[in-house]
Amino acid sequence: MKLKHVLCLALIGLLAVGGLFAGGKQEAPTGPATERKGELVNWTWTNKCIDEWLVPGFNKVYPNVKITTVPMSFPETHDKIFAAIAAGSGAPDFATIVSDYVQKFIEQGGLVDMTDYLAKHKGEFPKYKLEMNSDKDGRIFGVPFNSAPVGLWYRKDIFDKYGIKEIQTWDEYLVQARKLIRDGVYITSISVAARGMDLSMHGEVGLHALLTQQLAGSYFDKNDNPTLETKESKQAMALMNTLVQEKVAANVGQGSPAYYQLMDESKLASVASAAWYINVLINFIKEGSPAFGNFRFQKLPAYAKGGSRASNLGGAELCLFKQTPKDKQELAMLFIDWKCTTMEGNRIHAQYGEFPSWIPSWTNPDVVNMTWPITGDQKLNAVFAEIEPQVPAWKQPVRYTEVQRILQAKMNEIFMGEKTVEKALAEAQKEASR
Amino acid sequence: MARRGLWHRIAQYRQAYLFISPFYLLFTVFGLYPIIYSFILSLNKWHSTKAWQFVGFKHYHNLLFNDPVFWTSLWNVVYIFLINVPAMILLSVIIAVVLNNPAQKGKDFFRITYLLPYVTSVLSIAIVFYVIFDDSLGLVNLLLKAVHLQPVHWLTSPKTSKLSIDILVTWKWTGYNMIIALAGLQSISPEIYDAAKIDGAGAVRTFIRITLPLLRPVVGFQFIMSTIGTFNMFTEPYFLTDGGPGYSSLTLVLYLYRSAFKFFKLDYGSAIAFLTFILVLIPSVLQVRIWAERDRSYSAT
Repeated sequence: MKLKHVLCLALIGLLAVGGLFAGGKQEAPTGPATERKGELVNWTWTNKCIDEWLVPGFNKVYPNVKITTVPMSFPETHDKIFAAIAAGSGAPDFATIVSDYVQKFIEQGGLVDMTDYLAKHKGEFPKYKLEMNSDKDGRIFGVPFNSAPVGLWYRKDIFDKYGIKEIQTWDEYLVQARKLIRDGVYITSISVAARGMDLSMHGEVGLHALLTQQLAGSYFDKNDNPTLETKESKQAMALMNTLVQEKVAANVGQGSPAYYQLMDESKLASVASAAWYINVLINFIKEGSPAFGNFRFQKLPAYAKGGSRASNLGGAELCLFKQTPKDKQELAMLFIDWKCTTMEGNRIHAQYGEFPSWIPSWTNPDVVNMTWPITGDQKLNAVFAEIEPQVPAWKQPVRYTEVQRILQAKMNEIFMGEKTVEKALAEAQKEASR
Repeated sequence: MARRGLWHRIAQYRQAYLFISPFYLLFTVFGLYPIIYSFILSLNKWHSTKAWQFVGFKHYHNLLFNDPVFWTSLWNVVYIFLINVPAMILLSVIIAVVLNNPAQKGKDFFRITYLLPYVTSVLSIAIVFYVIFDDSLGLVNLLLKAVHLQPVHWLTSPKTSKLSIDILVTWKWTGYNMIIALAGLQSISPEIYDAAKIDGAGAVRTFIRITLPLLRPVVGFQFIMSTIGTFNMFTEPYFLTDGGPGYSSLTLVLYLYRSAFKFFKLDYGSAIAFLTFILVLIPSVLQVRIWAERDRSYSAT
């Protein structure tokens, strides 16, 4: 009888574990934290965040789960994931994937379905983030890692000097830009060369995307066919082109030596970028620079008074791979679950300088009241949390990066004055439709 | 019988075949197999987890007749080639001749100095050149401004982006070509120069009539290697200009990389790879034939 009991229990246990992984779906495992043992490998470009901040926190709860991070550049991470899925082997146990690439890897058939896991966390993540990670049948393949609500990062000292209060509209932004340039101060920077995201923090391509998304526009129609000539796309490009043609935007690429030099010389007043930009500032603006402590964040100026002031740029997801052994997937889920749906995981992540996607963390006093020396006493997360629920949906289907490249090439022709916005976008549409 | 004879000969020289087999084994696994696989890939519509669909030469047709970006990238490579290769070879020969002069002092120092760019990582060089060519802070524009000349948009204008790559490539590879030219010069018998001197030939005439003709095989080798290198160029434009502005410095291999790894079109990327291979093969074979023909006619005279 005893043996029968043991066998029955073992069978039930096996069925339970089998059910957990049925159909390649993934859920968070349960059980005492100290009993969980094993080693995990993850690929990421945010290695500092995971290695130095998140893993030590995770190991306080799961001391016997060792996570090895393989640091990679942003493009390298996605190139290698693509190659590993295509080869059918070689993928890590989990990885950070930028939202732009998730649809590609879903289409490639390499990611684990996390719908059931996320069903247990209904309402805890922004809708647009989950839509970005979903296939046409509504299955979700990534747990939102960080969100990237966009606003205007500006220099308080420069704005104060010229008596500029919070800028409400892009028209007002242009007025202030013309005022600043008289003293050789650029309102922002736009490289006429129009750099892409691989080498330049999303670059001009990213700027056009966020400005189009702000208007609830899209580069794709409901059937995922490219639509680059939309009213929103034209309006966004026209705004960028005005800044370039009036020479109120410095002709330097984000992240270039000249870009930081302008910051140090207090000649660059603002940049439209995402929440993660705080991290860029922390890494590149050192104490002693006049920019240190003087950065502040406000909502994006609207196209018209009362219009949308929310958008998104980037953001990442944590994903598992079908080719990874089930026991490793289960172990990796421990980390994903801890990071993405516990207050401690999200608090540490926020302190590092990225805005967590987990909605319950946005009202946590520790997260809301966080400040950084580089941005003075401003409670940035409170502003991010205000913007995030208003971010319009943004389609990033399989051809997203390809379409971005086409736009990038045309952007240069517009900025060089060789083509009008309408003509260049019409050509881009033609090229993308080929 | 012939087949029997072949196997007999292989058995007879089995030690020799055994010695050369590692190369062929490795080449089969890491060279031949990927080449064949890639060619098959280029004839299919690829998907990583679904069955492939045979499409014949559709990707090649699209590339040649429906893809202006491919033609732009080909033109870019030809442009870079036309400026960079002759300049690099000419410079390398001149430097080699100077360093081959017995009276030249500090030869080792100069040899190492010229060779340094070749042994330095392309990535490091590209970063340095990225800073040097910066529009407002770059050293080149600061020098131009110092002599009251207009600054040049080296990396941010489609007119000069290819030229910037040419400068970087020439700077990096001249030292390597100089070493090859120097080896060629040192293989020329000093007796020929002595005879020329006795016949009253001056330095310039000796260089044109003796040195250059005898260096032909070496220059031919430099030409072929540079052609292959230029058509396969990736790292320099990737880090310096990212193929831009627009498509102005996009090379064939950078376009291949984008298509395959950024747009996830491995099939299309494979087709670009094969067209690039053919494009490299044609000038290389032509060059080999031309140089061989010249060598034959030179030997005959």
